[in-house]
Amino acid sequence: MRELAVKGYYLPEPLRAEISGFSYSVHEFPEQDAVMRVEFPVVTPRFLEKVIAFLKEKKAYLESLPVATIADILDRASEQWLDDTSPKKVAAVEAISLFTGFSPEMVRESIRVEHLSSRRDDLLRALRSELGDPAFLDGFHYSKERGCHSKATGPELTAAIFSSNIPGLPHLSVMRSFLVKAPIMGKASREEPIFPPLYAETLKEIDPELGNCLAILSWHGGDEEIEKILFNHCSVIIVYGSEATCTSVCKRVPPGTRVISHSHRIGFGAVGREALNKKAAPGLAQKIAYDVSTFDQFACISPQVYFLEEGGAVSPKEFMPLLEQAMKTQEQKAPPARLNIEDAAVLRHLHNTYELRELAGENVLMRAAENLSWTVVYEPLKEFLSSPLHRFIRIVPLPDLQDIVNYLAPIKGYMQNAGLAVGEERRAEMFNLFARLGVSRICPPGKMPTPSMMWHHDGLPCLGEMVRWTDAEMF
Amino acid sequence: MATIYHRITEYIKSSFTNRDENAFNRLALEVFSFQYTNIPIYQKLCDKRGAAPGKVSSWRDIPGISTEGFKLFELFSKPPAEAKRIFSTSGTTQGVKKGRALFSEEGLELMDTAILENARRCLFPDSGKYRFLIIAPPPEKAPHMIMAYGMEQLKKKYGLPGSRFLIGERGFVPEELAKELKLAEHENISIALIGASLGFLTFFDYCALQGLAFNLPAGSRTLDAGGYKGKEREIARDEFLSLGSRFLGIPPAMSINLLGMTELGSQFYDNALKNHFNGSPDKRCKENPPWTRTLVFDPRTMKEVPLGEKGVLWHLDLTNLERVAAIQTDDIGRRCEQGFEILGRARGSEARGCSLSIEEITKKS
Repeated sequence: MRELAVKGYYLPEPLRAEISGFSYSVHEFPEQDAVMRVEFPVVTPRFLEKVIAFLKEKKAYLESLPVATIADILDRASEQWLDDTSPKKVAAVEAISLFTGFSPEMVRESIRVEHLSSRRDDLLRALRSELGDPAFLDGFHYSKERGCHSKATGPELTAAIFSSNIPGLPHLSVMRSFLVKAPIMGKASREEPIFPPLYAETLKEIDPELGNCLAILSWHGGDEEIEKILFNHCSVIIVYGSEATCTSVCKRVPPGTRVISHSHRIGFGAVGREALNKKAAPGLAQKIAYDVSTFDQFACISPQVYFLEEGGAVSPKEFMPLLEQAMKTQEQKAPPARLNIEDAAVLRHLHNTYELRELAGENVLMRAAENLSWTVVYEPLKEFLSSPLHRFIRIVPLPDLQDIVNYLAPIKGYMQNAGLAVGEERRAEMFNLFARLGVSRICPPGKMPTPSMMWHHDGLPCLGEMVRWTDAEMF
Repeated sequence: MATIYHRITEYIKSSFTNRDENAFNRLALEVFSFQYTNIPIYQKLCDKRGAAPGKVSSWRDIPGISTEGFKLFELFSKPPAEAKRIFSTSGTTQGVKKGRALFSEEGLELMDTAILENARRCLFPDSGKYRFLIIAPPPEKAPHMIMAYGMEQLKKKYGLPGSRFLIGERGFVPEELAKELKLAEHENISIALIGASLGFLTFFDYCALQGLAFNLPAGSRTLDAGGYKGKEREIARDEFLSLGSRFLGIPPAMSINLLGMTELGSQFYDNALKNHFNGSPDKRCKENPPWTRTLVFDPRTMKEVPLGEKGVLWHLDLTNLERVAAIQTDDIGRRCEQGFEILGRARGSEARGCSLSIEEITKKS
C-alpha cells in the first residue's frame, strides 16, 4: 500500500511557530491501493490575524522589487513546473492524480498548458495590455495619453479562494497578485490542496523573501467568522467557485471591496460548412477531441457542445467516425479521470438512453467507449444541453450556423469560450454575435484549453481590476 | 394449460412459504421469452446485447431496459387498445417526457395479487384491520398515479370504516390529519398512516410549529413512499424515524419506507416491521419479495459489485410480464445480507470545476 503524506498549506517560515495545532484528512483509495494524509493547520481567528498582519508588512518588499524582476522570478517558477523531471513536479503529479482522480498524463498536461502561458514575455505583455506600461507599477511614470504622471498601486493584500477543478491553475492568482505587488493570502480547496503549497515552495526557493509574501491555508469554505476577518483586510478578493460561492462572497465583503469572480461558465464550439471539407476534417476532429478531452471537460473553457453546420463536403454525421477515432487517440495520450459511481451512473444512464433511441430509429447516433472513457453523440437538439462532463460531447447539426443564437440566447452571460472554425468572410458576423451573447474568448478548435495570459479571463481585465491609479497632473 | 398470468399468480401466492429458486428461474426465462417476442424494441435491445431466448439460461443474464425506455416507448406486449389502465411517472425535471406503464385487465390483477401478498408479509404480518389515513390523492382524482392505486388496494383489504385519502382540492392540509389523529387517539383505533414521504415531513414541521405530539394507539404504523425526488428537502431515515416517534408516538420498528416505481408492478418494503413481528434482529433494508430480484452493478463495467459496495440498481419483477421485467435504473444503492439499500439517485457531476450546468442556471432564474 502506498502511503502519501501531503501538506495542504504553505506558510512563511516565521509564521510556522504560530500554528496552534493541525488537523488531518485521511483519504483512502482502495482501487489504487493507496492512502493519503493531508495536513492542515487549524485556522483560528487569532492565527489568521497574525498571518494577515505578517503578509501586509511584506507589501514593502514587493514594492521594492521592479516589476521586471518579479516577472523574472515567476518565469523561473514556470520553467521549473514545465520540467517533467523535477522532483517536485513528479511528486505533484503523483499526489494530485491520486487525490483528484485525473490521470497522471492529464495532470502533467494541465500543468504544462497552465505554465506554458506564464512566461516572462506573457506576463509583461499582459501588464502592457491592461495597464499600458508595466512601469506604472514601479513608480510615477509619464503617460502621454493622460498627459500626466501616473502610478498604479496594487492592494495591500489580496485574498484568493482557489478551485480544485484544474490542476496547476491557482498559480494564476498568485502571479497576478505579485505582478501588481500585492502579497496574497490563498485559501486552498479541500478537493485539491496539493498544488498551491508546492508552487509557493518553488517561489520561496527562487527568492526566499518573496516566499514570505504569501500564505496558503485551508478551512471549510463559507466559515463566516474566518472569512469575515480575511475579507475585512483585503481590498481585492479573487474567487473561483460555483455561482453560490461567488454570490455568497460578494454579499459578505465590506463596501468598496473588489471581488473578481470566476464562477462556473460554459464553453462550446461552432464549425461552418466551409471548414468541413474532406482534407481538413480528420485534423479538425483531432482538434475538437483535444478540446473535449483536456481537463476532462472540467474547465470553464472546455466545450460541452460542438455545433456543426450542414451542407459541407463532410456532413456532421460523416464527421462522427472521425471524431470517434480522434477521441480514442486522445484517450491513449492522456487517459480520462477516474470515475466515481455517481458520475458513472449518469453516463451509463445516458449511454443506455441513446442506445435505445438509436435502436428505435431516432435520428441520433452515439459512439462511445464501453468503459465510459469518452462519448460522442450526434443529436439534433432543440435547445442547449449541458454535458455530464468526463469527455461527453454532443455534436449538434445546424442547417445554418446563424441558428446557433437560438441555443445560446437562453444562456446569455454564462458563456466563456467558443471554438470557432469558419471562413474568413464569416468571422466578423460570428465574432459580433458571440460578443453580444457575452462570450469572453473565441479561438480556433484545438486551442480551447490554452488561452494566453493576455486573455480577458471572464471578460475582465483581471490585472487592471486589481490596481488603483494615482494621477499627478502637476507637471 | 394455465396461462403464464396464472402461473405467475400462483407463484406469487406460494412463494413466501415455498421459496423455489428453480421455479423462479423457469418463470423468469419464460417471461423473458414472452417479452422478447412481443415487445419489438426490447427484442432489438436484446439482439444488440446478444441475448435471446435459448441463449439465456439464468435470470441474471436477462438484459435490463433503462427506465428511460418507459418514457421513449409504449412498452406493452399487447395491442394498445387492451390497456385498461395507464400509470405515469411524475416527471421530475423540466421538459422531460413522462414514463408510462400500461396494464391490461389481467396485468392489473397480477399486480393486485403482488401488492396484497407483499403487504400481508411486510406491512400487516400481524393481520389486523386499521383505519387508513392516506397522504395521497384518491385514485379517482389521480388515475395515473400508481402509488394512489396501490394504497387504494391496501385500504380495500385492510381498511376499517373511516379510512380516507387526505390530499384533495386544497392539497395536503396538515390540520385535517391532526384532527383525524386526535380522533383515533380518542377512539383508541389503530392507524395505518401511509403516503408520500414529503407529506410526512410537512406534517412533522406542522406539529413542531403547533407544539403538537400524538401518541397513536398500539399497533399503529406508518408507511412512506416516494422519497424526495427532485425536492430540495431531504432527510435521513434515522431522522425520519425519530420524528415519527416524537410527533406520532410510532416506534421505529413500526415505521417503514417503501420503494415503488411506476415502471415496476411490485414494490420493495423495509423489512423492519416484518422483522419486528418475527423477532428477527436483521438490520433494516429493502427486501425483495420472492417474485423479484435486485442486482447491483458497477456502472463503469456493468459487472456485479460485491456485497456492501455501491452501484446502480437493476430489478427483475415477474409482475411486469406485460411491460419489461428487467429494469436498469440509475438509482444508486448497495446490496446487503437480506436485500438492498437505496442511497440516492444519480445526479452527475455537481458542476464540479467551473463547468456550469444548465440546471444551475435554471435553478437560479
